[in-house]
Amino acid sequence: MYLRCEDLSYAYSSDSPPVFRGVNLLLNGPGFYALFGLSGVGKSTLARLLTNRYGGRDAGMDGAMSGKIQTDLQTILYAHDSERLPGWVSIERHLYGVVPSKNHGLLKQLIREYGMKDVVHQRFSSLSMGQKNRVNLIRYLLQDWDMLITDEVLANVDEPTRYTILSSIKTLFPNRIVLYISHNAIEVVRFSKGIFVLPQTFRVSAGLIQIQGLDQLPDAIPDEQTVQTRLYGLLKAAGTGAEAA
Amino acid sequence: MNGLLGRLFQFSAIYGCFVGLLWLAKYGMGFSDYLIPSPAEFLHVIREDGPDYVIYSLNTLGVAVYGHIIAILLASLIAVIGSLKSTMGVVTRVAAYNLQAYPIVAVSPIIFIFLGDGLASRLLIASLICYFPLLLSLLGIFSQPVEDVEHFFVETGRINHRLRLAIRLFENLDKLLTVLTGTATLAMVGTIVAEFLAATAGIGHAIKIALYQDNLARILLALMLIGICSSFYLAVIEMLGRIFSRVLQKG
Repeated sequence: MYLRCEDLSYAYSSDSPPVFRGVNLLLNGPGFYALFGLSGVGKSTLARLLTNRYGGRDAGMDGAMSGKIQTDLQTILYAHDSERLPGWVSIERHLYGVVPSKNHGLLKQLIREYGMKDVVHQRFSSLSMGQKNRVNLIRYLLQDWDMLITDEVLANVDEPTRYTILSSIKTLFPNRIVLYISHNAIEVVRFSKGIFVLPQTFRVSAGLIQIQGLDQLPDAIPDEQTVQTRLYGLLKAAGTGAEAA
Repeated sequence: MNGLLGRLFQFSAIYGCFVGLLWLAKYGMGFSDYLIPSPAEFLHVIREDGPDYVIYSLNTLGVAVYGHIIAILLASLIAVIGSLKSTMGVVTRVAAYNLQAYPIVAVSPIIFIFLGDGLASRLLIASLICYFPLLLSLLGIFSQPVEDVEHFFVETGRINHRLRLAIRLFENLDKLLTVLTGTATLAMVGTIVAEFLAATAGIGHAIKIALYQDNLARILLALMLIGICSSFYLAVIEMLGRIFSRVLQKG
């Protein structure tokens, strides 16, 4: 179970500067990984690129790409925070319609655990931003996937609920790969097994910096000093591209 | 109901201003009753010809409604075909964009030659006049991706043409309602133009006769009734659109 990128570069068109270049990335084996970087460094573009090579799906990636992506994964899904559910059915009806029947038990559990039980009968448009993101995440989690890329899918969700959700993802899907994209540096440091940082260097990112995460689990919470040290390294890498992290 | 009253009020205000200005010009500049009828003569025409003109107007409204419905069905069908990514879809889109540039009114004499001056010609011209704006709007709606909603279905391989169209239609309901309302006016215009050109019935035909008689009072009466019928039809479409939208939103 792996996904490898070698010397990956991408530009929106052949005559525009690259969004990123020289990206090498190896996700080897299942686990919770994170892709971190400041706004505009190309995290979402990289994520879309990783999914787009499957079956020629149209994700708007018609720019100039070079480098190689190799994997033995069958299904890579990409979820992002701007997604909406169809407005003509209730959330519950939609979820039970798109989640495979073998996962309906788990669906019920996630609706309860993610605090969606009281609003699941409503339409998507009537939810708060945080609730919308949680519903969207639930439907992705319960598909058949080998790797799930989640792009800011917990935006506007309160911190305790985010921690509950991240812990549950790690507990429920230990044999799959999750690539978590977030601007929340603390939770990236705490929950990730490996962190890939797209640094902001002269506006064009050059390669990825890999940092070891703390891989926090409900029964193994790291001490604050370790979190702070790792957090400093992560932010330094993201801002200056310093490998010292 | 508020929509209908609102539309009637708006039309009455505009129509009142228009007639008021005519009478201001008449009495200000001393025009004869032959050129601009006096208020008394106008009231007399309303009493004398009102009932017949109401029937003519309802006849026109009926043809316009049928023509509009035919245009909606036809435009929906062609837009669905045009939204396909196949060669057939591309050819349909290209044909639609090119044909719409031609003024349909110019084709109407051919329609009258082939179909005569009966109901079929009026219906066809009314349909054709509102068909192309409807088609272009529907093609635009059907070919514009709603990435935020479609993304999940694309990712999980569930997307199909029917689902894609359903999403795009639902997300553009307001735009569609505006287009339907706009083309309803065009359907009325098309029917009246057809009647004015060669038909033997309807308010357009009555206007043509009044024009030959230089009877402005009858023309003013016809304009008033056309305005009332149009307001009524537009208000009904808006009301149906609101109900439909509410049912879909709330389930």
